[in-house]
Amino acid sequence: MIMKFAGPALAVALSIGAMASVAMAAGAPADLVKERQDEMKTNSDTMKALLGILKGDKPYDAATVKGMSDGIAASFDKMWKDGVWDTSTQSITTENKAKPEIWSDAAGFEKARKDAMDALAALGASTDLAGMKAALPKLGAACKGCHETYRQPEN
Amino acid sequence: MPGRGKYVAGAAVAAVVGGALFWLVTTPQPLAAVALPQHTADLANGERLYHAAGCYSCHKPAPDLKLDDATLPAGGAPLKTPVGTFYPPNLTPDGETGIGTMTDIAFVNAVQRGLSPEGEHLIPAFPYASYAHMKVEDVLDIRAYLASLKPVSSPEMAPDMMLEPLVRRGVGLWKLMALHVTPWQADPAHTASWNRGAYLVNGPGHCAECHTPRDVFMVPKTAQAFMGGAHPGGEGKVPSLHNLVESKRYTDQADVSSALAFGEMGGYKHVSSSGMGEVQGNISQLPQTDIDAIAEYLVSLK
Repeated sequence: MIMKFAGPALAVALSIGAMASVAMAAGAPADLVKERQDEMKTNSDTMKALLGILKGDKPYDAATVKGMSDGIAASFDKMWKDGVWDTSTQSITTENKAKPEIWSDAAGFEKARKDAMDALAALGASTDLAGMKAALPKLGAACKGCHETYRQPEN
Repeated sequence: MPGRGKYVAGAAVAAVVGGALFWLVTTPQPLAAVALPQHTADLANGERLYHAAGCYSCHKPAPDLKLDDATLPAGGAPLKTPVGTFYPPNLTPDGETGIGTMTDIAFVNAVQRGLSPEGEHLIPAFPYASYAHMKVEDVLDIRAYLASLKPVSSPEMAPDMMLEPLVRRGVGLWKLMALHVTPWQADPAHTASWNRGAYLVNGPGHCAECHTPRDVFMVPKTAQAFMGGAHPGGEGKVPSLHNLVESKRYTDQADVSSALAFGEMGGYKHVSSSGMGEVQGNISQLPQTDIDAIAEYLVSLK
């Protein structure tokens, strides 16, 4: 009797193991959602700090601005490397504002990522306040363009 | 048998009376041309109010128009609503397809009374119930500003909606409950800038269209003004505008002002998803004094 069940049980155990290892590769969905939210929160704080410089609340310094834009770019690279937009994350239904268009319009989503990276590179390459004033709105537009299309409304 | 005939006749009479009553109460009520004030157009004010009213966001050009200047309100981009998909018309002064030949009174009747030049009810996806609270001079200035734009050809497209003639006429019933053509009244208990903000929010800004909940007849529940409503796209919710500071969504009035002026550029994530980014983009084009006035009014909503 025991042997009779051993085969299927082993298969089930193996398949659970296989599923777990796949999930491990991309991280558990809940962790991925948390990672992208934490990263985006940090990026939003960095944007606020950049705006502070633009408005003159903080002194302008090219290296500081470059450090901030590089920081956001590094965050994006990390998120994509970690696969935070894995299709499995759609299973998280609470506190998840990702819209299905992220996956149904993957090309558009990729373009949105590239727009943001290009805008970050331009901001990092700016060398004075005037250059920053020209570059930051383009980054803002990239953020907004993606959020308008791929993120659900606030509640 | 005679009894049944009586019922049929009774039902027919009821239908005729009901139909006549429906026809009567849904009769469009345009403003007469003589009621328009004498007014010298102020183009700069018209441009400012054009942005405050967010005209472009719905009247943006259809993607296939491929205009050299995509900032022109050439219309034709689809606007999805729970009652159907609309293609808001061309607001450039093109004689054939735009509003080049529209009279001032026809423009005011459209914007503030929801009536087409032919005198039919317009579907209130066009937020005329808010625009009804605008100063008529401001509406005329927007008209003048639009007339100063470059005319482009963008033919009008019929909406995709069910039972259009009946729904259109039925809007007359909705107007009895929801359309109040009254200029916004200043509240002397508040500052001039608060009142300016109140005007911009309740009139041209038409914030209540999404941020105030509606009843089953789609009439805004004024007792719950700005307490959050259903998303006009049919999914999700639009947040409440009450207690913006107390709820810790913003640190203070200046923070709200900064969010409206800069949006995502300043890391303000609450003003950028599912339509609000467009609104913020329009508001950001107002003078700082107007943006501050809007913030002053908003943070006073408790």
